[in-house]
Amino acid sequence: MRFRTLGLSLLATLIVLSGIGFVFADGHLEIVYAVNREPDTLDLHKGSSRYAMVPGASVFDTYLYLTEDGEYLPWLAEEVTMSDDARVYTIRLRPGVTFHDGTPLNAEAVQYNFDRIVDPATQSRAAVGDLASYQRTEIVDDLTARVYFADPHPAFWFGLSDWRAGGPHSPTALEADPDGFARAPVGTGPFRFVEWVERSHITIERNPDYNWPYPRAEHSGPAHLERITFRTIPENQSRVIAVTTGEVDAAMSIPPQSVIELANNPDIRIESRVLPGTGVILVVNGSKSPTDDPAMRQALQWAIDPTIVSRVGYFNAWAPHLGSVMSAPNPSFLDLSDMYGFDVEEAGRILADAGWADSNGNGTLDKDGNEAVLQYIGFPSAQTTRVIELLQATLRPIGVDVNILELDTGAIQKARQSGDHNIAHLTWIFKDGGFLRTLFHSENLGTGWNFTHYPMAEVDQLLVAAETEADLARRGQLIEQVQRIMLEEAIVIPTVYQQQINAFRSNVQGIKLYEVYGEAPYFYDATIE
Amino acid sequence: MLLLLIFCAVFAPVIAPYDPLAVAPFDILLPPSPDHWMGTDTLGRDMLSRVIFGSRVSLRLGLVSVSIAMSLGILIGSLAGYLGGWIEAALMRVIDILLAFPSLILALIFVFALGPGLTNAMIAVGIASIPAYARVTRAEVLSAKENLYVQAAEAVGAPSRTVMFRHILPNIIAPNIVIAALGTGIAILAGSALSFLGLGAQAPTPEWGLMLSQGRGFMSLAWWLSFFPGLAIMITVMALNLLGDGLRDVFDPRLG
Amino acid sequence: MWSYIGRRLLILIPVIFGVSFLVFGALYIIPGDAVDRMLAESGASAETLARLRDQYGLDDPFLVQYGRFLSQMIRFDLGRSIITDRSVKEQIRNQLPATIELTLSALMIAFLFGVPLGVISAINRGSWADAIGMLIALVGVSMPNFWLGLLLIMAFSLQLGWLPTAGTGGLDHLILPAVTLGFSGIAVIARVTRSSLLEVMSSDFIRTARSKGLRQVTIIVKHGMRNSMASVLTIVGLQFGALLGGSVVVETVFSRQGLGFMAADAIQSLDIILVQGTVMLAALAFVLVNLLVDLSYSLLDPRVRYT
Repeated sequence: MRFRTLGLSLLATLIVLSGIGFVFADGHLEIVYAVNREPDTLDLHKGSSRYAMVPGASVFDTYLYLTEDGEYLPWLAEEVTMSDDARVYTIRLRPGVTFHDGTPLNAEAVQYNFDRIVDPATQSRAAVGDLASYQRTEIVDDLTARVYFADPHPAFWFGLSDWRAGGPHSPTALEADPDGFARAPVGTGPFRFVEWVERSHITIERNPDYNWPYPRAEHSGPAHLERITFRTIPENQSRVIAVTTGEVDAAMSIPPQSVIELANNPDIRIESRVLPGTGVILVVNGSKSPTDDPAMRQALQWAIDPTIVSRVGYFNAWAPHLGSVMSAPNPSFLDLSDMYGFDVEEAGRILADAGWADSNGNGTLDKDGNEAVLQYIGFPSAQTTRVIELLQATLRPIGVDVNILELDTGAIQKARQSGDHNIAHLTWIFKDGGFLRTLFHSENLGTGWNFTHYPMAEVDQLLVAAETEADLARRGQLIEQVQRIMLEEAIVIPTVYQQQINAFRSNVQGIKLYEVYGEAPYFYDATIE
Repeated sequence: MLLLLIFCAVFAPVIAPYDPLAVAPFDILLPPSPDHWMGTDTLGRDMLSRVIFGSRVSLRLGLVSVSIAMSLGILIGSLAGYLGGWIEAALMRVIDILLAFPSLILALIFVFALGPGLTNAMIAVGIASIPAYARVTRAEVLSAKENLYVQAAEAVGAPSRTVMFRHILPNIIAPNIVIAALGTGIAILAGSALSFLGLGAQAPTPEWGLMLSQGRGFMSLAWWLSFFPGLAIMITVMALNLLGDGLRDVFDPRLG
Repeated sequence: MWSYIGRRLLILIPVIFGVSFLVFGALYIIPGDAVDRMLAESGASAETLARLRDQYGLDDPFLVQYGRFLSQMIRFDLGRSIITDRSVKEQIRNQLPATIELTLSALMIAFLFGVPLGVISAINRGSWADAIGMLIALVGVSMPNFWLGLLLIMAFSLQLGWLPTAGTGGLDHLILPAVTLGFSGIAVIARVTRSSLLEVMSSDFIRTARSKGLRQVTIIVKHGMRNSMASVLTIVGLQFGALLGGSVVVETVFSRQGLGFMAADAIQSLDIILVQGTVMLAALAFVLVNLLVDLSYSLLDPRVRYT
């Protein structure tokens, strides 16, 4: 009897549960792509999240296509010319391009897009940066627009290849519902937006009228896939399991520890890309004891071996950093890995020579009354925690302690700006070398992103000169010099490159990742068996 | 079972085979073996030692937050019950406000406001569990006030402090102890949930909830990272629940 | 009865006022705000940040901000999130169905397994069935739900590959989270059912029924159950709170759409306005459910009278 009660209630549960809704969707030519985060908005004029580019790259196209080698290929723009002073750009559009709502991409649309980005009412958070000293756009003819800047703006090339400023949004749709666009974007891309179920998924479908593929495409006409679902799975391990079991066809941002496991799985293909920018670096505070002592900074360079950091912290999935403040894919990257050897004992000798000794017998070195205790600040994550615990274990034998300052996320920025740290964890993703000014020019000390607390006049000059230098080769040399000085002063400690690692089921072919950042997938040539 | 836990907590440095914080870059993610009964974690630290040391953290978390909750709860409850009038009304509204939140959510708000960290998690869980103590205390004080001996004591002019401490307080201890025993288990669960969500203890503290959340990223690679800390939490809470049930049977057979 | 309801609602007003003060005040004192956080992550310019601060009134004095918060609440406006620049009400509306689906399924599981388990234990008091039932109940209340969730993922997704690990969707996505969330409820309900049933069964009218020769099962179903449902219902009120809190953890473990996961994310990203709105809503729902539970006593247990 009692078992029947139990059985009945089991049955009842199942019946009721199945009444709640059992959705089973599986069509041909459909891909489920696991992403780790939702975009903030799909109105790329407004938003700042990199994750908006994941579906964004399929809904929007860009005027130019940036290759890994830093070359700008024509796409929606057949031709772009820059005036010698880098203040005026002329954009000639490819004819016949239409938005998903059927309206044409013309010079008027270009003007509307740029004007809207700089309009304060738009509250642009990132795109406005690509336009810097934008003044106005002149309509030359139906397919030609001329863009004027107050100051020389060589970085506009990049802006034209970036979805935020360089991916035209439909003016008609924006006019019709300026706020609703964030959740119902209309672009010119190979896929049209279908729905966004918040915190669950975003769906897009094939644009049947599409015939203006990106320059590296392997076919013409509409895309092969009919439908793509971007499913949000924030937890790293859950994404790994989902792609392992085939719940999803591909997953982005695979955590380093899972790479070996997935690489050994014959059903899965791993693609890994080194991201441009700083890579993962530790910024050293040059004005706070003990790292105000150059010997201490030198010793840290000797003690911290990127190879070991890569192995222990990142399971070799993120490669050791060979440069200083710039990652390998950046133009004018400099390999500086032979500047210091990696030898903890040598680090100990450097400290001893500079007068560091354990005079009070507490197990930690000191000099002039200052203890060799490094304060560390970083956003807590599994990897940074592992790295810092490794650092603690590496430096302990030579009498240097590392103390983690526990701060909540809001306080971290303030603490770094006021210099409470000796070493601060930093990653920054950017392709153009100009980002170094944001991070290392002394004008950004205290309120900005320069956490070195160590003004270097020569670096300042080089960075300013690089910003307006129109000769790319000359500009590259300036940026190389900055990299060298930063490491000579031992004001940054490179650890590993930041890597974007994606996993694909082997029946999925042809998804190409944006050559520069790697997180944005191009589904145009993609197929699934 | 509880004694074993307390033993672990007290003698952790003696019985733990390794230093719970010692990093061994070449022994990472070793599965359970005779050398490391519970395997090693991502930095090569011995899991058994970390779980043993974790008993200290968790028991402290439970005891501290329960002490906070019980002392404030008894204070509020007895003031309300004994003094009555608008003070009672005001205090009980405060309790009502706290009761308006599901307790984990209340703890979340407090830890959010105070900032993440083990101490703040203890305070947050403590504050969130005040109402149970306050209500029981008030009810007991009210019924004790009705008792003849209290009325007699007041009639002969004993100062209210004397009445409170000598005659009423003893009555409210027993039910509070029962709640506290059960509450310690609940507090440990809540505290470890906060740590699991990244709002409680921070690395490298060997706290079970935090270890579990760190181990979660290695589920398919190293099950032992998330299995043993969870088991430890469960056994501890189970022991405390058994203790609570036992105490309840002793002090208050009606509830059994 | 109606005057009782009226009085209860009247008491709610200061409580809700206090709740709003606590929610607002607690979140006000946080060092660092969402704008700082955005700065830390996206590197927006200083002017952009100052403009945002100004727009959201983050630099106004406490009372001004609290007043604005209250007047918004009265108009059922929960404000706009700084991070997503979207109305909080809309975000909540989008997440609510998934959380309701999860909590109701969990509650149903708790009920459908908890009550029979309690009944079996009560009928067979002292036997091995009772012992096993109560052991299950003990494990249920002692097990951290996030651990149970991970164990279920390891067993059913990773090893057996039967059910998905994460995400939102049909029944297959619901089973593991609902079981995880409902498990402790099974334990609590089983315990309460057992003890109240034992109490009722020792009362006079059951003994009378038994002496009339009615079958054991009939007695339990007809008389015992009805009378013990009042205490089970109280627990449901409390369980609802546990479920709301638990949904934060369970939705996070299963990366599931829902209010709890959204709140946990909002806490991580210091999206204060979103946290405020969600927590206010949770508190209101909890208070109302408890009121409803109190009121429905009278329907199930005629002995309860409102005075």
